[in-house]
Order: sequence, then structure tokens, then C-alpha cells
Amino acid sequence: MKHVTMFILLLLMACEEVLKEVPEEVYDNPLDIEATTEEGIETPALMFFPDEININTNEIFTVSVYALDVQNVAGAYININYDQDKLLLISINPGTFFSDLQDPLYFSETQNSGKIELYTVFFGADSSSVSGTGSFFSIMFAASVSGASSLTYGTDCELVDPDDIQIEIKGFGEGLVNAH
Amino acid sequence: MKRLIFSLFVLTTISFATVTVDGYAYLENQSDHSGINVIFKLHDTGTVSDSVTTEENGYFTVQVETNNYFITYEKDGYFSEDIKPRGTIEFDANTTLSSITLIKRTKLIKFANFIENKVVDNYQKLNFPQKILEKIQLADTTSQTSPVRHHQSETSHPPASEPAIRFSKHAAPPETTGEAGTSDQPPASNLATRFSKNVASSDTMDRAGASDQPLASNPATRFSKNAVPPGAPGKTGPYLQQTITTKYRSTRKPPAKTKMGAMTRSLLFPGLGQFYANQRMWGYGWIAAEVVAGGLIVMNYSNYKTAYDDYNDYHASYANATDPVLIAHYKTQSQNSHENLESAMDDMKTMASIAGVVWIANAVHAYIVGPTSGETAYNEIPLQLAYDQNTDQFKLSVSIPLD
Repeated sequence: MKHVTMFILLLLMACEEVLKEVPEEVYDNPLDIEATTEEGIETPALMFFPDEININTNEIFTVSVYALDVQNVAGAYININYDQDKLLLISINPGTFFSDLQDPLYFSETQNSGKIELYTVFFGADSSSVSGTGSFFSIMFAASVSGASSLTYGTDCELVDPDDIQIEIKGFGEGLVNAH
Repeated sequence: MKRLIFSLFVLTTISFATVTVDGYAYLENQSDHSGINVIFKLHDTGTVSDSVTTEENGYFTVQVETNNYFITYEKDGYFSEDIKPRGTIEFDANTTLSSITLIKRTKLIKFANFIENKVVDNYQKLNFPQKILEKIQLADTTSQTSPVRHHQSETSHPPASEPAIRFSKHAAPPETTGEAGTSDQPPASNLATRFSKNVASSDTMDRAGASDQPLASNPATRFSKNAVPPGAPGKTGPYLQQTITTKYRSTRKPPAKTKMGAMTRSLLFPGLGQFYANQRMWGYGWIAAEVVAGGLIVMNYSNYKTAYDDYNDYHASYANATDPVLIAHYKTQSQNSHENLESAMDDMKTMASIAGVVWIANAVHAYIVGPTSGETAYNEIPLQLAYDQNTDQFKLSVSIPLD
């Protein structure tokens, strides 16, 4: 009788093992407006994509600077802070948000102080702008030491329309880097 | 007076005269036949009066007083043998005894010997043979002949006229049968002994060997130990072979069938308990029900796995997408897959519950239709007909299992 009980218990445990395989439904794409809104980030917003990065030490990764759900953007000033003791800035590359426009300009200032200042502007025909979601820059880092660090936007970031009128940025996303 | 003294002298001389007794005794399949003890016991008192040991060639000789003796041949590891007939002989002159060959003990023969001794002892002590005989079933000579013991006696042995097998003392090869009948062998009336030690000549053995039935002259015997001469069907040629057909059934009965046994089996596998309880149709029914439930579980599990894989794919695409349109698309697909996943899981749980209920119901049913405690796996009719030599009557024994 003991063996039968053990057999039934094992059977139930096997069933439970199968049944608990149902994955939890998680939608956390930082560029998903619904998801970010649920997280309390209103648009238009500046986001990092991906917003969570798990890498090994000395490994290189790329994070993109995204404008989420913006309207009539013709220029941007973006200020990013990072932990320079843990992350090593490798390079900064232009994004695709203005790639369809004519002759966009990109500037960046890095002072090795854990701060990156990025400028981009479009000098084209009048009233040319972009709307929606897109990346301004791609920034390449390397994790110099293990540990967690964050990427944050400065509060003085600006988005402007073709008339150089400032567009209100309602939300700022954060990036999290876990170096092992 | 002189005549009286002379008469006493003659009588004393005659009374205490000694004679020389010699002969040969051999060991089966041995070249050195020394060490066989030939023991002479007085017929009247049973005390050992003389003994002698054989030489390497098996010869022995001894001086004994004229008297009536039991003569026994003994050696460790071999079956002892008594001189024929009935182990007693009277010597009033120098005598050369018939040669004898001792058979080596084997496990089977030991076993048979043990059974024989057990039965004989209890039969004699209790005078109630049924108790032992119930434990040793009537030889079913129509079914099988095992255990079968084949003895091989070298024909090159000098006067190997006495196969001297304990259970077939009267066995003899065909060419010696007639001779044995006039010398060492018992009269025909002795064929039906207590344990049915049957002599079978070649013609009768054809019949007995084919049907494996005891001889007609001894229809009611507990044991049927037939000595089969060479040339009998299925036996090898030049060797003397003897078959012991003592059917022994263990006194340990098969375990009784119980309701718990049926339920346990059905818990292990649906329908097994019903088969155990001889409810075959129910057994097939429960198996079919469980197979159907299992099939539905497998089908739902397949749907579940498909939805699971779809969900993982769509979710990975959603997480990596940067285009809002694609994000929305993959999100929708992912949500649909997750719904399918949950639906398949619910169905699978439902079917697993049904299968579990069917399983438990099958176990309960097995318990209900399970065999009662009086029913055992021992299905033979417990009637036995046996011949009791003490009363010279046939007896019918009935055994009723109490488990």
C-alpha cells in the first residue's frame, strides 16, 4: 500500500510539474506605449532600449536612445548620466529617427565624467519634422567591473519642433546594466 | 551317555559352524570399489554380527556363523542396498553372493528419498496416512513425468544385474527380467507395493511410457515410480535408464485473492484488478475509458505545447521589436497564444481530473467486484481418491481451504 501511495504522489508531482509550466504574461517592452503607461511613464518620453542589460564583465553592449511617441520633432538635446567607474564609453553612433530626413547633424560631448551630451538637429526644408518613436543615437559601452549600474537622462533634455519650440518631455526611462 | 555327549557335540558343532561368504560389490561409475561396508545382522535380533569392507576390485569375504541374516551394503555418498530378496538370507554353506552396485546419491534422489522416508515414517507412526498423503498429491501420471532421473549404469560392469535404484528396486533391463524373476526379483504379487515400485518389461513399458500411467495391476497408488528399460520411447539406447515419476506439489498454496489485491492492481493500472478478479469485460472497459481519457490529455497537452511555443516565439519578438507597429502586432499574437495556452491547460486539467476520477472509480470498482476471501487461486478440485493398504480400502479425502 505504501508503494501505491508513493506511486500516486509521484504521478501528482509529475502533473504539477507540467501544470506549473504556464509562463506568466509579461509585456515590458520599453517602446510599448501601453506598457510604459502602465509603468507610470507618460509620453512623449525618452527611453533606453533595451532598458535592462545583463552582460559579463568587459563585454561590449549597445543601448539606443529613443524618443517615444513624440510629435513634430526637428531637434534634440539629450543629456545622459552613467557610472563611469563601472561602464566604459566606447562609441556614439547616430540613430535612425532622422535618417529619412535630409542632412541631419549629430554632436556629442563626453568629458569622462559620467556624462554624455548629445545634440541632433535637422536643417532641411521648412516645417520638416518627424513623429512617432525612433532612436536618436546608439551608444556603445563596455562593463569595466562587475555590478549594477544605471543609465539616466538629465532633466535638462530638450526636444524642439521645426519652429524651435520646446516639446514637453513627460517621461524619462532608465536603463539598468548588470555586469557579472 | 557317550551317545548323548556325541549328540551334544554334533549339535554344538552344527550350531556354531562357520561358513565363508564372499562376493562383489561395486560403486557406480567408479574404478575403485573399496570401502563398501557389508554388514551382517542377525535376522532374529537385528544385531550386527559381522561386517567386512570391500577391496579395490570390490571383492569381499567373511566367515560367519550359520544363521539367518540381513545383509546390507553401505558406503557414504551412496544409497545403501539390501541383499535380495527382502534383505535376508540364510547361510548353511559357503556362499558367493550376487554382485551389487551402489548408486551415487544425487540431489533429486536425495529429495525423493527424503519424501519417501517422510511418508513412510508418518505412515507407520501415525497410522493416518492422509495427513501426509494430502501434502503429496496423487501422481498425475497422465500429465507429466518430472522430476525425471536418468541413471546410467555401465554395462561393462561385471555382473551388473542389479541396477539397485532405491525407488526402482525391481527394475531390470529386458534381457535380465526373466532371470530376475527367478532369482533376485520379488514375485509378481510384490509389484504393487506401498509406493508402487513397478517392474516394467519392454512391452509393458511401451504402454506405460507412452501414457505414463501406472500399471493396471496397481491402479490406486500414491506414487508411480516406473523403471524404464533401455529402448523405451524417448530414451537413449545402450544405457539402463530409469524414470522416477513422483509428482510432488508444494504444500504452500498460492496466495489467496483479495479485494485489496484487486484494488491495488487497479490503482497501479486501470483494469488490472478486474482481470485479477476474472471480470475481463470490465477490465477491458476500464482500460478503454482510461485510454480515451489519456488520449484526450495527450491531445490537450499537444495543444498546450503548441501554444506554449507560439507564446515564447511571439513574446521574444515583442521584446526585441522597436517598431511600434510590430510591437503591437507581436503583443497581440503573444496575448492570443497565451489565451490558447491557458485554454489548453484548463482542458488538460479537466481531462486529467476526469482520468483521475476514472482511475479511482476503476479502483473502487475493482474492490467491489474483487474476489471474496473464500475464493483462492487454488482452483483444483480438493477431492482425492487413495488406496489405504492398512485397511485394504479405497479412501476419499476432501480438503477444504480455510483461507
